[in-house]
Amino acid sequence: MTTSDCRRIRDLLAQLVSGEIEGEAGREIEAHLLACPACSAEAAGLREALSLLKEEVPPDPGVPYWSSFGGRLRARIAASQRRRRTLRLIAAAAAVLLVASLALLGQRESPASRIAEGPRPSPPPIDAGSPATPAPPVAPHEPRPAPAPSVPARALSVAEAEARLDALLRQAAAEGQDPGELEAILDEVAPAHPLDGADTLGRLSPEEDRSLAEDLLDPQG
Amino acid sequence: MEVGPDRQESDEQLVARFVQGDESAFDDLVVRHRVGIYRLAYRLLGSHEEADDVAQEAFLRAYRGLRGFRGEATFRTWLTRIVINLAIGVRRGRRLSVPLEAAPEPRHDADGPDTALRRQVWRAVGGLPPRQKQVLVLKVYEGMKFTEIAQAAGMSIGTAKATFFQAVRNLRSRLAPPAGAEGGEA
Repeated sequence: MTTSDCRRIRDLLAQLVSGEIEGEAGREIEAHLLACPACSAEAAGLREALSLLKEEVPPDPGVPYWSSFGGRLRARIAASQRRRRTLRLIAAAAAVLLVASLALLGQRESPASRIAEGPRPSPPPIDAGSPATPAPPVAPHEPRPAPAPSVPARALSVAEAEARLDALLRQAAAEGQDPGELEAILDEVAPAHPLDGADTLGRLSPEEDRSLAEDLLDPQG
Repeated sequence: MEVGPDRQESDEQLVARFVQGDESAFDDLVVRHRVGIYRLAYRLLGSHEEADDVAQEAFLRAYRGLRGFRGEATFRTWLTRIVINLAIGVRRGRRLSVPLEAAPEPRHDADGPDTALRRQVWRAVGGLPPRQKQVLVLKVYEGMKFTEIAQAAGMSIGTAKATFFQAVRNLRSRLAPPAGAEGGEA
C-alpha cells in the first residue's frame, strides 16, 4: 500500500461515507480499506462522526407555530408589496420635483429672461498676440442655431410639484403606510450612508440582480 | 413529520402554476418546504428566533423572485441558497460578538443518557468554520448531492467535496481527539 494510494483514497472517502460513490469506484475503495488499517480507521471515524450528527434533530417549535406560519408569511408579503408600491410613489414624486426644478432653471436661462435682465457685459477683446485658445470658426452668414425652446408656461412650478408630492404621500398613507414607515422608506431611498441601502445578500435570481430603479419601474411589484 | 400537499404534483408544476397566477400554488410550496427550511435555518443559526425570521424571509424572497426563477436548479436548491445567504447575513449582523461554540443549544425533549453526547455534537458542529458547517448541514441533513451543494452554496463541486471532507474530519477530531499519530499518510 503506497502513500499516494492512501492520499487518493482519502480524497474519495468523503464521497464514500456520504454514499455518493457506487459501482466500480466504490468497490475499489472498499478493497483498499480492507487492506489498509490506517485508511480503514479514517473511514470508520468519519462514519462514526456522521452517524452522531444524523441523530441531532432541532426541536419542533410546535403546532401553534406551524399553524401561524402561513398567515404570518402572507402578512409579511402584503407588507412588502405595500412598501414597494410606496417606493414607486416616492420615486414618481422625486421625478416630478426634478422636472419642476429643471423647468425653473430653464425659465431662468430662457432668452426672454435674459432680455429682461438687460445686455450682458461684452467679453474682453481678444489680444491677437496672445496664445489664447482660438474661437471655433463661424461662417460669416451662417445663421446662428436657434435658441432652445422656452419651457412651456404650463410646466410645474416647485409649489405645484410639492403639492403633487403631498398628494402622492397622502395616497401612500391611505394605502396603509404610517408616517414612521414612510420615513424609513425615505431613508432607504436616500440613505445617510451610501452603503446603508446596499443589499448584502448574494445574487439569487434575475430579480435579485435588478437595480432599485428597475424594481421601481416593474409594474408587477 | 412534514405534512404537505398532494405529492403527485412536483415543485416544478407548482412553480409553473404560481407563475401563471395561481397564488394557492405558492401556499402549497410553503406547506411542503416550511419544516425543512426552518430546520436548515435552525441548524445554521442555532436559535429559534433567527431561524423563524430567516425561514419567513426566505419564503418572502422566493415569492418575489419566483417569476424570474430560471429552473437551472431545483426549487428546493434555489430556496436553500436563499436561506444560506440570509443566514450569512444574520451571522454578519451578529458581528461574531458571540463565539459560535456559545450559540444556543437545541432544547432536548428529555435528559436521556445521550444528552451529554448530543451537547458535545452540537458544540462540535457549532465550532466548525461557517463554510464547513454549511456544507456539512446540506450534506447530512438536507441529503444533497455534491452537485446540488455546489449550486446551493455557490462553490465548485470539487470545493464542496473537499470542504465536506475537512468538515467531517474536523468534527471527528473535535468529538474524539486522536490519542496517537495516524499512519498511512505522508
